[in-house]
Amino acid sequence: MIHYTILPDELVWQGYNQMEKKAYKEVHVAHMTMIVEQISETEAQIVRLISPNPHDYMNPKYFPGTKIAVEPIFD
Amino acid sequence: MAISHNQTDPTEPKVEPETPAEDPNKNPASAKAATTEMIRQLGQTNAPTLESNIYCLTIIGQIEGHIQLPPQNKTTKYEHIIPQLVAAEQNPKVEGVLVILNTVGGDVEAGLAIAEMIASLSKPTVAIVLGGGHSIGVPIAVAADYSFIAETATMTIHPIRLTGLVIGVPQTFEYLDKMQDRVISFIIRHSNVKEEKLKELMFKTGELTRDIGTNVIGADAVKYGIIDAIGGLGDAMKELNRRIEGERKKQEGILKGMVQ
Repeated sequence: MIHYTILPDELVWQGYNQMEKKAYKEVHVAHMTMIVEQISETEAQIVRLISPNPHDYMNPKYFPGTKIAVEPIFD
Repeated sequence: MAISHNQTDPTEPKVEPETPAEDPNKNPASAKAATTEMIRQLGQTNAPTLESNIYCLTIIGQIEGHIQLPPQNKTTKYEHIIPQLVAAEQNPKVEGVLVILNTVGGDVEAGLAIAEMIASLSKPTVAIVLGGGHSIGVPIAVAADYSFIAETATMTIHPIRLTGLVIGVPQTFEYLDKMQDRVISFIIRHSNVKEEKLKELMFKTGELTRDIGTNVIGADAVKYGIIDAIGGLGDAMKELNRRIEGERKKQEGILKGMVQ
């Protein structure tokens, strides 16, 4: 990857090695796949949306950062 | 409904597809609470949804590509931008795209991908550089049909470099040179700047402290032919609406031709 920016590299990449690796999960809602970050037992935040329908990306309900309700499954 | 792979995980979330988030239009009280939550969590509010025939795309901070940047960076993620551009192209209600740029550069692949997407949209596109459109922001700015730059906005034209890694073999240098040529050729193809001029700006010494290159401010960007005109939001909107009107007339003309 080539980074083409006016900012010095040491500023852009500062703390890169200390970045915590977040445990993302993949959930499927209807035809969509969502990469979510679990923030509590019942809530998750959308990190990324993957959908074959482009209009899903315009739907504020599915914007990255939106919280969705999730239920833990015990089996 | 499909659940992700690991069924034995006891905390595996199950999402209710009907209500991923509450619909703010249905319950005003919850809408207010949701707005407060949005301000607290993300520093943004949900603007009232008004139907607009213009799709506004803002590109700010670093353009993030294949590698996630540390959190001190403000980033525009290309995997979010690209499907939205697809939606804008496909939605018949969207008649024009306004690109607002204030970027310090970023990933070459991601930046060029966004630039190519904007350039290949069939709908009228107008870009406006506010503040800055540096490095990989330059091809994005010129990708639109017509581009504006605010009088005080700047664009830094400088070579691609590989800091931290020593160029030891000629192949590495050649690879870097090829990457640079991709950027240069895109800018030349989509603006009025001449290759010699762009290269001259790019390799100029004595202007930038940490690098070689040129800081091109407002009027100079227009003078060199990189950007089409000086202007602000009003000018950009006027131009976009003019182009939308032209497009409508063209469509009507085609329809009339078909009838006759």
